[in-house]
Amino acid sequence: MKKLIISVLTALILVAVMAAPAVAVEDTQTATATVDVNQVISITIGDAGSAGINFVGGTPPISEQGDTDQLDGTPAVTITIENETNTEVDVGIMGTIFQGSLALSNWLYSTDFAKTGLAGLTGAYVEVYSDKGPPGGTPIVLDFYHWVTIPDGTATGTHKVTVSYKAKETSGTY
Amino acid sequence: MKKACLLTLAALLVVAMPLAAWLVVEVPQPVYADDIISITLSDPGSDGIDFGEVDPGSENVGDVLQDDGVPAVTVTVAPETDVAVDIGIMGTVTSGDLELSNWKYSQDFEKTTIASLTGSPHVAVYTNKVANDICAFYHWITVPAGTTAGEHTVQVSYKAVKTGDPF
Repeated sequence: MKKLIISVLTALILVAVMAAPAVAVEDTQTATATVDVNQVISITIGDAGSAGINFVGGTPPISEQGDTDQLDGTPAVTITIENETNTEVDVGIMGTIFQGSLALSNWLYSTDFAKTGLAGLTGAYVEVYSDKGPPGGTPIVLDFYHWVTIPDGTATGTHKVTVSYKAKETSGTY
Repeated sequence: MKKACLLTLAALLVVAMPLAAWLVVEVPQPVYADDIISITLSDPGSDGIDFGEVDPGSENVGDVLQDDGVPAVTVTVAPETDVAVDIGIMGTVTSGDLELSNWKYSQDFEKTTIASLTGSPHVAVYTNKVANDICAFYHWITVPAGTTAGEHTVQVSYKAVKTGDPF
């Protein structure tokens, strides 16, 4: 009987030891790491054929004559939002008379060869493309087709306009 | 016969109950003294790990307040810790899209053994540390070109376990 009791006791002790919960002892602490990444906006300009936007011109009146190098699918000017751009942007256009007297309203642009949204240049930036990018590895190419209208009575000679293209953060101003 | 059975049962109960009570009383209760592991964090400025404003295309820019001998984060093994411990680190992106591989740490300002944070589980950085030992963590950030502008954050976790135990 004594032997039996000792055996039972030993078994019980073993069970108790084995059943004791395993306590994972450790300690964990945390810290927050923060970086504020600065904004980068980068665009490059591409130009079909001869440098600049070139029109043949001729005897007035001439209506909506296209850049000599542009074709359907080949815009006079392309604006590329480059990969380093890290925020969504809008792209606008404006003109400044550089030579001659041809009013800005005669210098026209559109986003396709079919003249969708055809409009005259203005002296302040007008948004043409909105909410573009960021590129995320693939540059974004934006098309600009250019046209000119030469009304009756336009002075003979060379007329020039400087055309500016600007990309800004979507929430920003030109 | 029925009576005999009942009597036998009663007799067994009379014998068994004291025996059971005796067994319960006599079984020794094991006593466990858990190991104590405790760590504390400190950082200069107490603003977490702060890299400030960084331009895309920058590599291994340090925490703004760390300097040679002044780590971004110090993990101290608290005095009450009564076993040797290993200290590990891991990260969790909590905002933005800057991958963990760009969030780095080293044990010294010279960036010896600089390494990127990884997700769970923790990776051991210091081993066999004891009470009052100080473990330095310098932190660095790489911002690849094209990284989205704005704030990016990571929660950095430092964990102490008994030396040799898994994280």
